[in-house]
Amino acid sequence: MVGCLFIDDDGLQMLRAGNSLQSIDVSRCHHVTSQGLALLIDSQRFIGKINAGHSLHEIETCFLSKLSTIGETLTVLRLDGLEIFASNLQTIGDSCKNLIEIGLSKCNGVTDDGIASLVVNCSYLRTIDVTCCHLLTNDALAAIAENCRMVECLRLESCPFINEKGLERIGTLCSHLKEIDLTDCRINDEALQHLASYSELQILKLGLCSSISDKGLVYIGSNCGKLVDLDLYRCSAVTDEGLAALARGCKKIRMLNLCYCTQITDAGLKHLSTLEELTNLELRCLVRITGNGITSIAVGCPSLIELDLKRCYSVDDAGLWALSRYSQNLRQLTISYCQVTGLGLCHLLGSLRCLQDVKMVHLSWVSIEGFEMALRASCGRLKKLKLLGGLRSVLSPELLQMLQASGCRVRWVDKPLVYKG
Amino acid sequence: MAELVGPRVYSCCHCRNHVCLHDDIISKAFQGRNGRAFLFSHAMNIAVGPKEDRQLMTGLHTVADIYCRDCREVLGWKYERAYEESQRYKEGKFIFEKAKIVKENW
Repeated sequence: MVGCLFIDDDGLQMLRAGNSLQSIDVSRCHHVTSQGLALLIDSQRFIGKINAGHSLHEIETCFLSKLSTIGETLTVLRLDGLEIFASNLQTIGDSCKNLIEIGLSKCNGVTDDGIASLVVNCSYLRTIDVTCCHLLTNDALAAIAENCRMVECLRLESCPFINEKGLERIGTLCSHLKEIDLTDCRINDEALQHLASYSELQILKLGLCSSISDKGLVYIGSNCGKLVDLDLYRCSAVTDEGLAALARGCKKIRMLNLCYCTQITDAGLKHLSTLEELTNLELRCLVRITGNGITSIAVGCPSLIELDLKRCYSVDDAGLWALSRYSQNLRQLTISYCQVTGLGLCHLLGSLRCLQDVKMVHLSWVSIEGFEMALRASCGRLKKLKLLGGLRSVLSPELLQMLQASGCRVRWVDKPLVYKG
Repeated sequence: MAELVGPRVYSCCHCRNHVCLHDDIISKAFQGRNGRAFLFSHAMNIAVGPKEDRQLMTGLHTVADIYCRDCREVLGWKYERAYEESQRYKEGKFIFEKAKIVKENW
């Protein structure tokens, strides 16, 4: 019942009748309270999952004490966005020893002590989400490493006191780690040296870690051969050399975010072109890459489905020709601010059969005729378009009707023409 | 795939009052008091506190804390004045801390 604003405690009581309820999701239900949820749990014996994120104005003892009655079966508990204290976590840990997943993202009040008292009892935990629990330090990670040897997924975004020292213990003791989110943490190359020992790692998020350089990527490339998803958003110290290391060692990469890594050039993209399984590539504001770099990618990565080139000011029609020819699986493309003309755009929209979602705001070199021809060339295939608001009054009504009739939703935006980077 | 109906709204983490729109995001790379924050061009249903001078990472600014109008939770701040030319673009804009806002049903 996610986000059902009109469900309240009385509504929940209607569910008491049966006793085979296994999973309850009342996240974002503003009118559900601890009492209502507690009474519902009271009537059930086999509940496996509870998601009460961003609901229950306060977590009250009536709810917490009921957890012990389902302590055997409860494996997933999400309490995102609620205020939770160490004593609450102690109660949860004491009651629910079989927890596999715990969600505490954006929870006020979560401290190292709280985490310690939780994990000392819950050694089966596989997923731990403490996004934005900004009080946590490396001590919390130490407690997790000691107690939760089976942990597979750690979400630690925006925990500023977590650094390379905390990751060392995890590396030695938790060999099953598959996913770790360290966005906006103080992560440096030494931390990546520890992470490199996680040979099962599949998903690694390092957004906003500006201290990471090519040296760190060499570590990752040396051992994380199963890596599938890598996020380096705004890791501005990364250069082409780092990409070379990744391309050599992490051949299974499917999703890669390099937005605002502005030192990257066409040479770096050439390295990436050996990643045959690449499906999603984000390259926002890479001002030094040109149509040549895009050509390498198009030729080498036939599985490409999503490509974001917003603010790649030096990418011109040559890039679009290559995509038109080689990227037959492309479904979503952003070329806002690119240096493309109506000719390249027309060829692109006419050639790619799977292309459904295009964002093209501020294409300053495309004339009105260019847009008219290009959009008609798409033959009703487009389902989502993002265009500059000013075009709405100059494109022909026939074209707009044609787009609407073929089920295309257009988002008109009024953004000023501003160059960054 | 679910169709988006209407604008993508962010709510106050505490009471789910609607406070800002995803389309008004200018930048996702700001630092709030405790972690990541976003710069928005507009805000709604908030109250603005008293102005004060603060030394931020990018220099001296006059800012005013912004509160959720319903529950008074501090959600971030508004830039009233910037003292360096390069920071002027922030004037009149709003910082919302990532930990304090939540996507409303999208």
